[in-house]
Amino acid sequence: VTVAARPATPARTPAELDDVTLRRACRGDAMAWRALVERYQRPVVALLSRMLGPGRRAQVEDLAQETFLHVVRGLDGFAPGGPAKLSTWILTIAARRAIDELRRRAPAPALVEPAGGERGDDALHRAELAAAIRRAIADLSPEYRAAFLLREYHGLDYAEIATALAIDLGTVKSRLSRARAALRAALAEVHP
Amino acid sequence: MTDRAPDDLEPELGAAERARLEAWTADAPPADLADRVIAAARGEPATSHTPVAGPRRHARVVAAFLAGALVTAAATVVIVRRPDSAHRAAAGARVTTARESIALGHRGIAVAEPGASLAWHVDADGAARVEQSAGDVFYRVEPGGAFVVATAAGEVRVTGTCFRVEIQMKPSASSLKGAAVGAALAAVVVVTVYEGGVVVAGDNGDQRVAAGERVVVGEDASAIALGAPPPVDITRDQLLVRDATQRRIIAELTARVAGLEPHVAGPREAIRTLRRGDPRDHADDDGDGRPWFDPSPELLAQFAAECRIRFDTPPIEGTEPFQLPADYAAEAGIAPAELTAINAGIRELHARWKARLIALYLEATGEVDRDRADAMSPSALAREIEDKGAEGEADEIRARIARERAGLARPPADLSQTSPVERYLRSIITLGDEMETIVARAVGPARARALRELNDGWGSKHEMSGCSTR
Repeated sequence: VTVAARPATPARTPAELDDVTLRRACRGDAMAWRALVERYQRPVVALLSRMLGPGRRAQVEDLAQETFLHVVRGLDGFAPGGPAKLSTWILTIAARRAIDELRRRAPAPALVEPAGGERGDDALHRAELAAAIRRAIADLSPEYRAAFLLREYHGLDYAEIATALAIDLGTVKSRLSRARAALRAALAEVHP
Repeated sequence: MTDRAPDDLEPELGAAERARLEAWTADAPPADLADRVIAAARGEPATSHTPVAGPRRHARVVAAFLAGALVTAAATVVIVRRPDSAHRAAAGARVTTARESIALGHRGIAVAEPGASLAWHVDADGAARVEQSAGDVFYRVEPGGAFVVATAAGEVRVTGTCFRVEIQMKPSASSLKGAAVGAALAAVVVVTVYEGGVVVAGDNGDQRVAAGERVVVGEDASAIALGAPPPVDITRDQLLVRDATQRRIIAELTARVAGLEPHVAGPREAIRTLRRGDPRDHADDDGDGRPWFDPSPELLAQFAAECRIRFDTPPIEGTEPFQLPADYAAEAGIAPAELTAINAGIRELHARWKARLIALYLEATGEVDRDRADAMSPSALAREIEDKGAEGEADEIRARIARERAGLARPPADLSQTSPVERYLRSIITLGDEMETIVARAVGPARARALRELNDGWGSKHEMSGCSTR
């Protein structure tokens, strides 16, 4: 078994916020807050929307807002030179909020897959593929889902995932392994 | 499911499998997420969750009337925070596209070259801090407390009056090791002192730099003070070369100061005036007996030479119109009926402004999805419109408007033939007048003017300056 340090594809996280803007944000500068939100909003919303699944746009927006509110209010506690990157810290907050939300709320509305319509073969294939991945991820528990998404869509390494989800490294490997198996099974149903 | 690690872990995904993951696209963030976060952080209690349909969706800012105006990216904004102090607290941020003079509250002037990026905060007690993240900026500092320029490579603490901070991004040998090219740049900061002195605090400790000296600080560049004593073993020829070099540098510095002084003179006078007066009095920053937003003909002529325009705007940049709180109004001597008129005016102008911006946005960008434009805040729409302008276009328009305001040129006969960027700029600079007209319908022209003068304008004070060299 080969365990790579990071996924082979580029991480979907943006370049980190510069130190000057970060310090301004720590001091409560609203323009710096704006820069911070605009820098990280795309991966945060992406993580939350994949965690919560379709039909929960309003919840995703609320959780994104709560995530960034928590971030700007907690910046004093973030150590810029510390072990965690700002993006990892923010994604950690988002992931934990999503897990809490999924534990607290009722199951997502029944998934209605978009109709194929008159799309071409390629678009249809991608839609089928996306639906298969969504179904596979939706079948995972929130904790497994978070580990998989942080790894495969946001490029976190095992140690960062362990810290983010407050679990040990072995558990990270175990969860990712099961998530990959589920994903492979789902992908096998869709022709390449 | 159990978390116990299995004996055989499922292998990592391969490149082909990861490529297939891309089929699952994610939602895009809402256009107003930053507005909502800022509004919630400033004006709402720290609840962990509030209903979506509740106040969190509204950019309701209650900290202060003046702080409620969101900053447009292209404007210098001075935010008055405490009107009852001897000096005004001020803060702002600027990314320059042309040379600009920027008043740093009552503490000094920054002359920023194109490409400079700085943010500043000046307390009412005079302590000033500037964060300079890029570019070349000349500073003239007035006495009155700590004055610090923070850069990525260290801090410059001012003990003198006149210096320049230049940030250059250079390849870094250490960060090149195993890093992406984008990350392989390090900030090298060049500090040149013209008068007085500064202390540069970097990783290698503090270093005093006196007038006529220059110091280079940053990764791979140990501090080099050109004014340091010569080595004891220097030869006569080396001493002559060193002397000639220093003379050339001093001549360059002298010429640079001479070139910048006229640029600085106007704002310096404004600062002196600002420091003399009680901020609660009607604005007389220019010492001409006129409100800040209504400069004298002489000042307008000076502005034309500097390609400078000045204007005030009500707080209408957010997703929702700001509403002046009753307690602030009472403290400022605004009667309840006048408060109603002001808040109604802000709402009316917000709606007008947004409709105007949407039309310009659709024209400038070619966007056909009106709903998408409708979801954007006025400040976001404005940024998009500005971004669609040709390089240097905004500078040229600003120069023409400055000349028109001084009576040195005629405005275009048919504005509909001008570009969206020009119509946007011409519209934003008249928002203060438009607000006054709206409020005057309810309280009369004289009182509307008086209300506008209460805080030097309706909310935010903007100045843009710098003539294009093209």
